[in-house]
Amino acid sequence: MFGWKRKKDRKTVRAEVEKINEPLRDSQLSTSLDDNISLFDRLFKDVDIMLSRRFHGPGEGAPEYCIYFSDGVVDSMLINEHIIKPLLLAEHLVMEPGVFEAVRDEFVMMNDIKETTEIKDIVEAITYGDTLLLVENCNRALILSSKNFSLRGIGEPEGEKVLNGPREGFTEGIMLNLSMVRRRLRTNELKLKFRSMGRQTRTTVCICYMENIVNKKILKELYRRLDTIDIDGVLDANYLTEHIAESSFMGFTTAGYTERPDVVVARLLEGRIAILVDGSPITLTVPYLLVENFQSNEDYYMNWYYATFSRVLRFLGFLFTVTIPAVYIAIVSYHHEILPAPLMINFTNERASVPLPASIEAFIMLLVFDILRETGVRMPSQVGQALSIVGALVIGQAAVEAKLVAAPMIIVVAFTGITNLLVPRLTAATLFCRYFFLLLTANFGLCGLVVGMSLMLIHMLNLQSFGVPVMMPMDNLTTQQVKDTFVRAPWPRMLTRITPLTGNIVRSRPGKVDQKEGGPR
Amino acid sequence: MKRRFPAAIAAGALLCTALSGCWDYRSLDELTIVAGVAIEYSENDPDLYAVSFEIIDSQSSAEKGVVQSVMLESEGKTIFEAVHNADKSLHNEIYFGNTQLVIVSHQLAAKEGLGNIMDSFLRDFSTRDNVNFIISREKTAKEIIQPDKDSKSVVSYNISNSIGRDKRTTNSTRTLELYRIYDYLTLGADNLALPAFRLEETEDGAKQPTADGMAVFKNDRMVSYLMDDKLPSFLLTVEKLQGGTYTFFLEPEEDDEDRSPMGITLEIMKSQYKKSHEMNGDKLKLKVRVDVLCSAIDISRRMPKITDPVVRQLEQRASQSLEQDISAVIRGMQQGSGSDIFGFGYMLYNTDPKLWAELSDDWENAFRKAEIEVECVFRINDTGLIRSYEGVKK
Repeated sequence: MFGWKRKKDRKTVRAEVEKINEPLRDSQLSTSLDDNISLFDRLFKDVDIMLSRRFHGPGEGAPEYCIYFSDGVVDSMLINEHIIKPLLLAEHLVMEPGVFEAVRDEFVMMNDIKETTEIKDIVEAITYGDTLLLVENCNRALILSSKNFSLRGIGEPEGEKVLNGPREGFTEGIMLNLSMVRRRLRTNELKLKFRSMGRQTRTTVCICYMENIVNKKILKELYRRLDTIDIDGVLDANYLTEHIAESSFMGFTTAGYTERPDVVVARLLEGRIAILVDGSPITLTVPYLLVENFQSNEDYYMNWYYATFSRVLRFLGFLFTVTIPAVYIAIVSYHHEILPAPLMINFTNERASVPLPASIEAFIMLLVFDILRETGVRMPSQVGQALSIVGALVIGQAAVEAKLVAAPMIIVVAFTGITNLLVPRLTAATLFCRYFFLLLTANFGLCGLVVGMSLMLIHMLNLQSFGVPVMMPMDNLTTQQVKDTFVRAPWPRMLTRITPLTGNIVRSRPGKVDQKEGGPR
Repeated sequence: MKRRFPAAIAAGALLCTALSGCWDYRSLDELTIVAGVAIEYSENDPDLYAVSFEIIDSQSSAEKGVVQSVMLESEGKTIFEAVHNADKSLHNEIYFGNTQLVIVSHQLAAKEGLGNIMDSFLRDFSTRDNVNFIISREKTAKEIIQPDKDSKSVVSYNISNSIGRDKRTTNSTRTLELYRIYDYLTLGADNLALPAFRLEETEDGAKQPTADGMAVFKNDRMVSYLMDDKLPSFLLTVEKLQGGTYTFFLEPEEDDEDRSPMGITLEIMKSQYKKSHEMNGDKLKLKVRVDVLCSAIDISRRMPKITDPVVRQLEQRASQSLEQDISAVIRGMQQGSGSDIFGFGYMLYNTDPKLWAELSDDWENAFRKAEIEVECVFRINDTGLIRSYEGVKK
């Protein structure tokens, strides 16, 4: 209905955006050093952190230079020793055609040099720690890599801790993160493509994939979607996710995220594409299949019996966390016949002295639990003790003793909360489904739950991630394809990759070590 | 795409209303759970039915932390009316979903029969079809399920549990659930035998409901009792038992000073029965074969050393004894009420429909006249003794 209005809004936004970017778009350096200096002084007016230094080479006829750099993100020693010092001492360098090439090739002692005429590129570079070198009478400039800023050290990601396996986690610096990926894949097939995202932040984004494994159609689709993004800033991977990944009204995610280089590499090897975003330890991986919500990198580092068991628990955890409040409400409000007599009597005795109907009680208690959980995340760690006392004692025990809430409800809510933690990556979906199913069963009993579950299943079957149905390995139940879904088969038995992600399916070759041969006896 | 979500929600809601047979909202705390029902004639007015309910007292149960029950009594011209009257006196809805026991007084069962009561339970009240029906041998039915003031359990549930597990433990009664009773009554082939209960006084003066024989029916009327001591042999012909005992007596050996018979108790581990028939001219012969796998648990100390021949001999004597017992029970029925509680009629209905069509009109008479052949085979799996045990007798 408001479609025409939305269209108009978009048009005006785009025009405004272009106006804002007008001064820098396509503007070039001039040949006059003074003009260039005044341009940069104007651009960086009131930016006190931006420093410049103008200096001459030795003797008569030597060219004049000017360097620009942003204080705090550069290595001063490097600028002094390898840019300013050689140029100050460059005795034979005189103003003549070819001086720029001479400076570039003979005097500046830097490994990473970029030549440019675009003001936009220069601004992007010097705000990120590079040094701009302007030479008299040249309409080109050198961007010299002199970045030096401190980053958080490498540590184990808080959200993805493991007992076994590598403990390295990504940090906020993209080059450091890439180094961790690069180190693990020493092959030229690993492709790393940079691009800048965000009009204002100009955030570096790196698209990584294995050339020989990736599905080219998915890669093309990813580039197409990235090209459509027009946003002022990209501060975290999620800014991209919501732009490029398919949206799900039930809250299922269609792009994976991780903070661990080992996970990124494992996914690259399965044919997925990783997108690293500068300034965020979160790395996106696409396409994201539903089964990945139930996988953990630790599954592959531990005994496969244990891993399979844990994985089955996670599937059950999802099922329980979305259905248990709904099933409880359905039973106590509609389908008492399900209950065996002793349980029925227990429930009735508990319910007898409670004022609210069970469904309203469930909504309130689930909301209280969500409030407690959210508080737990947001609060300073010093008040943790207080929260657990208030949460456990006041809201749990006292509410039951004061006959405000029935005890089975507390158990239901607690069980729901605990099983929810089994699938941390499905929080949005579990939240939606839990309340949705609860609403349906509070009104229609178990039939409502059946309809709700059917809707969820239909939705999951329809959902795609970058053109790949998220239920993919589950609809193609060949032995090899399910070896990494509900179960985790032993490594020597997992021979193939999942088909829609890659055309190159052979992962390892069958063959088993004859354990009886060899050995000391 | 935009319209699909609301459409799906609407379709879901519509489906919910259409698909669900029974989704009337009833909160648990609005229910009065009935554990057992006792039905009899009113003491004041024999034209009225007196229906007593053992209901779960959720208020005091919640307070005291144990499940307690109370009695609720009402009267009415019909059973339905009596239930309706009881419902009126409660602020909660009366709920039969967890009723496990219906007790009918023997007067009512003998005079009016079970048909009417069965009908109410099958159609009107939402009881489960596996509710147990028993007959009270006491003066009234309600005293069987009358709970003690400070009892910690529900009498009706205790009784129905004890009936339910009897097949595996004591072999003293038999569970017959509502749907099976209905089968018996509608088919008209066999006659019913329902558990009968009476109260037994315990040492501390409390009264404990105990199974005591079975009530034998003809059609839907109760006609006689089958006594407790005959039950093991009766049950072996109609149930596949997994427990219980069978006791028989051996004549003492010639050199034994004690001339009283030696009692031997065998523990039944598994039993099988098979019924068949034979027509010799117009003479019907009904056959039943019972196979029992058992272990000897109580052997008189006067027995000689247990060896294989002795065990074979025991098996033989047990078989003979059971054959006599079963024959006696069947003969008793043939000569007494003529009720076929053994399932011969049902066997004929299943195996020889033509013959059944001829006999069904006057099955009682045919059953009375039929020749009976009983064959029992005992197999003693172990003697429960250490093999090298020499016995006390020397």
